[in-house]
Amino acid sequence: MSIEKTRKGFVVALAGVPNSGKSSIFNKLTGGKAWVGNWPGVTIEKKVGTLRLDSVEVEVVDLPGIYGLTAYSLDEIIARNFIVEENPDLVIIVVNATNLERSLYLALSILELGANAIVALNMIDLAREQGIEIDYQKLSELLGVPVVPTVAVTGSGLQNLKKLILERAKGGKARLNIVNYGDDVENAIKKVEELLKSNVPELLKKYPSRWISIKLLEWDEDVIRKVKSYAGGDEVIREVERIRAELQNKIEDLELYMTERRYQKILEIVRSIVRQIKPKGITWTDLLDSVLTHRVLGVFSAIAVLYMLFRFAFEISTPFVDLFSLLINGYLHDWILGLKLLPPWLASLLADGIVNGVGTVLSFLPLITMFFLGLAFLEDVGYMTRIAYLVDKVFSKFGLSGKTVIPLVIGFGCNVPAVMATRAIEDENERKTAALIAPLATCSARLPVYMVIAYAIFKRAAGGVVLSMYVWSITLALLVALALRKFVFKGSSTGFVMEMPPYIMPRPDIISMKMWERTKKFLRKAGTVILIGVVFIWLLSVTGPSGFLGVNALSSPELLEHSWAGLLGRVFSETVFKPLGWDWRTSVALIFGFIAKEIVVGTMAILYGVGEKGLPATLAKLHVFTPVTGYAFMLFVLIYVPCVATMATIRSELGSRYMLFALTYELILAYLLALTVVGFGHLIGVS
Amino acid sequence: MMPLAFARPGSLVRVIAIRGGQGVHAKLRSLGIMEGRLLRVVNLMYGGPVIVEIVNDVGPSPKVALGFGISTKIFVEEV
Repeated sequence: MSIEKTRKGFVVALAGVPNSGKSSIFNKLTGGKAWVGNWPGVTIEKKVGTLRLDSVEVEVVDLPGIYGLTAYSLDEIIARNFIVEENPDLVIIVVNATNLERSLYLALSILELGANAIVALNMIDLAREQGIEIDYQKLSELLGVPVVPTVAVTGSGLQNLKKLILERAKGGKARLNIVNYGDDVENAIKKVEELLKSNVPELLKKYPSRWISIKLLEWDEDVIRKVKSYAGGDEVIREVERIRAELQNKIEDLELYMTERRYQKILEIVRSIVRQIKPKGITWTDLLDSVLTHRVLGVFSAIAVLYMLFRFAFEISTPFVDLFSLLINGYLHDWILGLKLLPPWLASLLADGIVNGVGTVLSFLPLITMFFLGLAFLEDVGYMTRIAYLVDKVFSKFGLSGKTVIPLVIGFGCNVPAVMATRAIEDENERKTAALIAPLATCSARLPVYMVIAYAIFKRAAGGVVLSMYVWSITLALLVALALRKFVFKGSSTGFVMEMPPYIMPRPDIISMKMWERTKKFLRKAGTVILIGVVFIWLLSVTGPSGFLGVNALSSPELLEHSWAGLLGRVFSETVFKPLGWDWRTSVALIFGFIAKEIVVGTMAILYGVGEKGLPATLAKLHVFTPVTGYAFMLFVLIYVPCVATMATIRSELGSRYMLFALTYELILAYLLALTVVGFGHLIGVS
Repeated sequence: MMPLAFARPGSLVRVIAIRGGQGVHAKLRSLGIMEGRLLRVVNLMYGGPVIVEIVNDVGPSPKVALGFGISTKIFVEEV
């Protein structure tokens, strides 16, 4: 028997409105394993996974969550270009059964594109809970494509979906004219189609002519550009302009009219497929919202919830942090140092450099993981959108929308995923502003520095002093945003529009996935960069102008003073940091803190020749800081460069220019503010 | 006729007109907010955002929060 030609793999695109459960379907289909990259030329995430069906490999491309296919949003242009130009074998349209109208608008837009499509009618369980039943067979008849009911979270209906994918990916017929735009417009569409056929036949090899015609009549800038790029295109556009003018004698706002026709069709469909099985009444969501979005009660609730989030993260993670530091920075570190086989410098590099580096990163892992777990819970329940609503009024005074609150809250965990989370903000100016102020959110790595200094100097008032850093953090972020919006990213915002989905029971798989995605970003970026940084510090500490100082340098402050690190600290403490009153040891800690704030406390502990536990007492005994210089130091740590990893993230999101900008403004702001505090302290006589 | 931003919380309003550029129109339309549509004003902060329910005669009615800027561009009439 001859070897049969192996069947070609299929490409399937997954489309849906935000909150339609598209990501759950993607994960269930691909087993959660995805290749994550960017769409060409933009920083919008592109996820691709594979699904094996029988012997066929299916590549699943996750399109951005969108409401329509207009040319006004980058996400929508990306989605439609993918469908038209990459020509996937099948488009799975995920329809949210609890939000039919909005989902069907997108579905009709995709079908109008001439795509071979199937519909996954998702969240039917929630729809039933809300009192409606949907006749999906009827929906399939009306749309002319197969419809599978699914509940992605539990996996129900997914076997049918997979079967259907295999069946329809081989080819299916699309129905292009579900929406009838009325005689006048339909005639115009025909005229434009004729025009296209005779003037730009090449274009029609790639794009469906009815879709191009509709989009031209709607004066879609992106499609106009496409048509113009073909020989004979300019003439088509001129003629379309004439046809539009003619139409506008009868229909004033053509675009509005066509959208209305689509909505009429949708209403018609919805009416004929939805059956109300329970009368509409007040829902849990309404009840909760009457408190949680109340302008006074809501704000108190938000403060309480966010406080609980922090407490949850700290309480749960503390035992793990202690365990890791005992095992890694304790046992493993000592065991390697004690190995007789290794030359001392190598043992020190491994133990003091690499193992300590790994330990430093890991010591933050439990806290960050728990913080992101709590945050993912709040997001999945639907609560974060309410917080965005509550802060929008205040944020808008600073040129930001309420949406910015989400990256900022993430930033209290780790700045790296915070900068990445600004991608969800559609407005370009606002997004860049948010990414540049995200480092001012005081991340969990900065907290230990505040704690040590505050306990050393302020004793009983330490709690209040640490809290004041959080107030500074938010205040500075908003003020810098205001300045950026005023002088750098000018122009009014496109406005705050955010869906408020009904509250739902959190879904463990989605929460854990979200938590893991963000933690992974921390691990990958922070892990590598911090590790390299710690090794680098080790090197600067055991060598000096006189050469190798011996591995004892790390435990002997006298030797350390003669290392490169000590020298660097001296230079700084006697020049720029002199007016601030910081000694060479704290200066070294700040220089190393450039790599990551995780390192500051550890460096100080080494330089003062004590363990981290004994550091506050030593700082107090040696009078290293006055209340004024100590507070200035904490402020400086809050503001100046959070870590190399965050800078690298800003670079990959916004480019080197903005990274340098962030670096500069943070250093200047940190220095000036620290100087002000010290100056003010002298003025009122506290020193 | 008044901007949505100044509607009475709890009231039912009909969209009469939407001002603003094509981008604003397209964004609102794809959410289902357009001329003729009924909205229930769920919650409103004066000078801040407003939450509206886009009233559907069948099935649940989705809620959307709109910022002050955008809600001053939507003109409504109480019904």
